[in-house]
Parts: sequence; structure tokens; C-alpha cells
Amino acid sequence: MAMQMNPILAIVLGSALAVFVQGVYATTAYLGRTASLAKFEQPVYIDILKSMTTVTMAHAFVAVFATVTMCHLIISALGHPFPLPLLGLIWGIALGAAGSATGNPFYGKERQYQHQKFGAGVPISASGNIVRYAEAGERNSLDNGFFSAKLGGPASGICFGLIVFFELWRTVIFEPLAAGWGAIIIGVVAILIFAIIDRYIEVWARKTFGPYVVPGATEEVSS
Amino acid sequence: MSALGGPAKTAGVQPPTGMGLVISIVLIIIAFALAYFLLQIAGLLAVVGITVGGILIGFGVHFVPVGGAPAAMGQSPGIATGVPMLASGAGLAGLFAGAWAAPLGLPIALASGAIGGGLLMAITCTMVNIIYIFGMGIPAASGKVDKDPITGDTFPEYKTQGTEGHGLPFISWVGGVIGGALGGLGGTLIYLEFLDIYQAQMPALLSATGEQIAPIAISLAGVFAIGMFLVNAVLVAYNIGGTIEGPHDPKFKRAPRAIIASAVASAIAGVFAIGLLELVGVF
Repeated sequence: MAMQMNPILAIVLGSALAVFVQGVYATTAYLGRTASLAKFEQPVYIDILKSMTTVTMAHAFVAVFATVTMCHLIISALGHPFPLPLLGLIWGIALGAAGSATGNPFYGKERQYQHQKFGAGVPISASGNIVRYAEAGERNSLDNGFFSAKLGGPASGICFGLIVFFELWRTVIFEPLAAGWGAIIIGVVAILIFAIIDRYIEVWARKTFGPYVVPGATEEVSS
Repeated sequence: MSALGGPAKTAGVQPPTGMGLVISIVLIIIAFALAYFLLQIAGLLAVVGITVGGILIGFGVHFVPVGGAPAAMGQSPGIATGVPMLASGAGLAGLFAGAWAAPLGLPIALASGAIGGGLLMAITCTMVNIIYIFGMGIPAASGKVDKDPITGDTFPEYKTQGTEGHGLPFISWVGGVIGGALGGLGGTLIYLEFLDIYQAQMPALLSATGEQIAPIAISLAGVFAIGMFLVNAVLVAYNIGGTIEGPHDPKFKRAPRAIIASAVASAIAGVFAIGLLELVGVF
């Protein structure tokens, strides 16, 4: 905006720059991890470098563009006092917190690909005991990304969307009420509603899954 | 005990050492004196406010249930991410809300900041539980206590053998919301103190009106508030040492040590942040 540029064009240019940073991160993370842990003799899959890096970069473009556009709208349409870079930092970290918190578990223990029973945790001794379900009998990062995207991605998106929606909605609609206290009261009510939802599904899980039972003989045969 | 003669490493209580206490108090007094020397009573009050904000952040981070990588694999309870990530996410959402409400006065801005942080944690914790239960099939079971102090649920029969517990019990949910609220409150308090100082100092320094200076003052205060937040969140992450389940975890008793460290770090960093303008004026 300081260069008198159209904001949409500026956001596109900024996202395009961020894409290359993401590409560098993705490449160095994959190669660096494999190289620094060379004692495990893991191969470097050129497939992953060729197909995964570009997909990650494209994904970064979408993510950065959406987040920066949202921050721009918060400033220009809703009048938040913070400048764009500061808002980008704030919502970027909030997005990281929400996405990491919600997306990580699904990546770590995906029900369909685990030998473990649904309705229990994973014993440490069974860590990494994942069914090789891909075509050649082994799975690489491509397949991991695919199955994580099924539920982990949308759930992270809903989580971040709910956060942004409730933060903005309660302020924009209810701040004029009760000399500013309206937004705070609605925030407390929203927190209480989420507490009830959380408690309900927690009790539902306890009833549905039941107490933990040691895996029986039949399951040991199947694994 | 380590070769350097540090305090014995125990799982639960790790009280601050006498030497640490003395050095902390001396450093805080030096910081307060510097603030008074730089900006008289306004500077002293600002640094006291910043220190209180830092203490609130440092204490609040202890409430946030963080499980790290084991939680992602269903092997320990909590939210599957790092302490600084989650704590700063919640606190910065609070700062966002608090800064927006700043023109409405101190009480509303502080309350709005607290609710902003609490709301982020409430939504995140609920979505984490939804993923745990519907995506991964993991019911909540704490590994550190046998009974949820709030709901009275018992955990041992639900805990999978060979894990430290799994899922996100309701006590951890409540702890997360309290932690987010304290973080948002502290972050907003720090931001408002910086904003007051900058808005009072900058017009004379840059020979401009208060309205012209407002965007710069708001940006600077926001940047320094975020910086103070990260300082305190990372500091406390070392005290927690990876994972914590929430207020019922024995590690929660380590909080006094982190509160003292947060107070010292905030006071010193705060003096540098408000003294910055004085330096600009000198040169």
C-alpha cells in the first residue's frame, strides 16, 4: 500500500514470494532430516522432491493468500488499529496454533491405518505400528499427506474459521451494547457453549468406547 | 544432581534457589530504578504494569495442556503441539481483541483481551477433542491423576496400557481456557502500558501531533507486546520441559520459579522497550 499498489495485486505478489520461502523450507527440511539421520540409512525419494515440493508450494500460496486477505479485510473493512504485518504475524501464529493442535493428532494416529483398536490410545510399544496400505507395500510422505488431508485438514480449517468468526462477530455486532461489555458477555457465553459441547462429546466417548480392554487373542491373530 | 551443582531434578516441585531469588530481586529493583530515572513516575508505573503482565503470561502458560508429539500419537494427554506455539497463539488472539477494544477504556480492553485468548483456547480444545474422539477414537484419560477434579470422572480403567494417558480431559479443557485468558489479559496489559508511554513521548520527540503519531505508536506497542509475549512463553516452556497436562499436573507446582523468571525478564525487557525512545532522543 505504501507503493500505491492495488491491495489484491500486492497480496498476490507477497504470496508468490512466500511460495519460494516455503519451497526452500520444504526441500531443506526433507533433505536435511534424511542427511542428518544418515545412520538410519533412509533413502531420499526423488519422487517426493519432484511432486511433493510443488504441491506444498501451491498449498502455501493458497494459505498465505487467504490469511493475508483476511488480515487486509480486518483492517480496511472492520477498522482494526494494527498495521497489516502485525496482524499477519498475530493471525499466522494463531493459525499455526489451531492447525498444529487440531491437525497433528490425526496425522499421528489415523484410525484406518493403525493396527490398534478404535476407542483406545496407542501403547508406546506399538508406536509406528502402521499398516502398509499403499500399492507397493510401503508408504511414503505422499500417502501420509493424502490421508491426513481427509479429516485433519478440514478440521483444522473449521477450528481456525470458528476462532476468526467468533472473535470478529462478537466484537462487530455486540460491542455497541452495554458500553462495550456486550462483546465480553457474548464471548463468555460462547466459551460456556463450547464447554457444554466438549463435555457432551467427552461423556459420549466414555459411554460409546467403554473402558479399555486388553486386546484379545483374535486381534493378535489378525495383526 | 548435575555436575554443576544445580538443584536436584524432581518431577514435581522445583522451588527457586536462594541465590536465584536474590539476583532476581536485585535485577527487578535495578530495572524499576532505571525506569524511574528515564521517565520518572510514568515510567515506573509502566514497567510495573509490564512486569505484572509478564507474570500473568508466565503463570497462564502453566495452565495450557500441552502434549507435544506423544499426544499426536495418542500416547499422552493434552494438545498435540508445542508450549510456545499454543500459548503465544492464544495470547496474541487476546492481544488482537484487547487492542481493538483499547479506545473503550482499560477495564473493557483487559476483559476483551482475556476473553479473546480464552475463546481461542475454548474453540481449539473443543476441536482437538472432536478430532481425538471422532477421528482417532481416543476417550479422555489423564495419566497423572485418577479422578477429574471438576467432573469426578475416573481415568484408570479408560487408560490404555503402555501409555501415559490420552485424549483431553475436561480439567485440561478448563485449564486451557484459563491459561488463554490469563495470557490474553497479560498481553493486553503490556500493550496498553507501551501504548500510553509511546503516545505520551513520541509527539514531543518527533515534533508531530498525537494523531499523526498514533499509527507508529500502535505499531511499536504491538511489536513490543508480541516480543514480550514470546519471551515469556519460551521462558516458561523451559520450566515446563515439554509437556504438561494442566492445573492438576504435578509440574504445575513449578510455577513459582517461572513467575519470578517472567517478572525479571519482563521488567528488564520493558525498561529497554520504553528506554528506546530516550535513546532515539539522545542521538
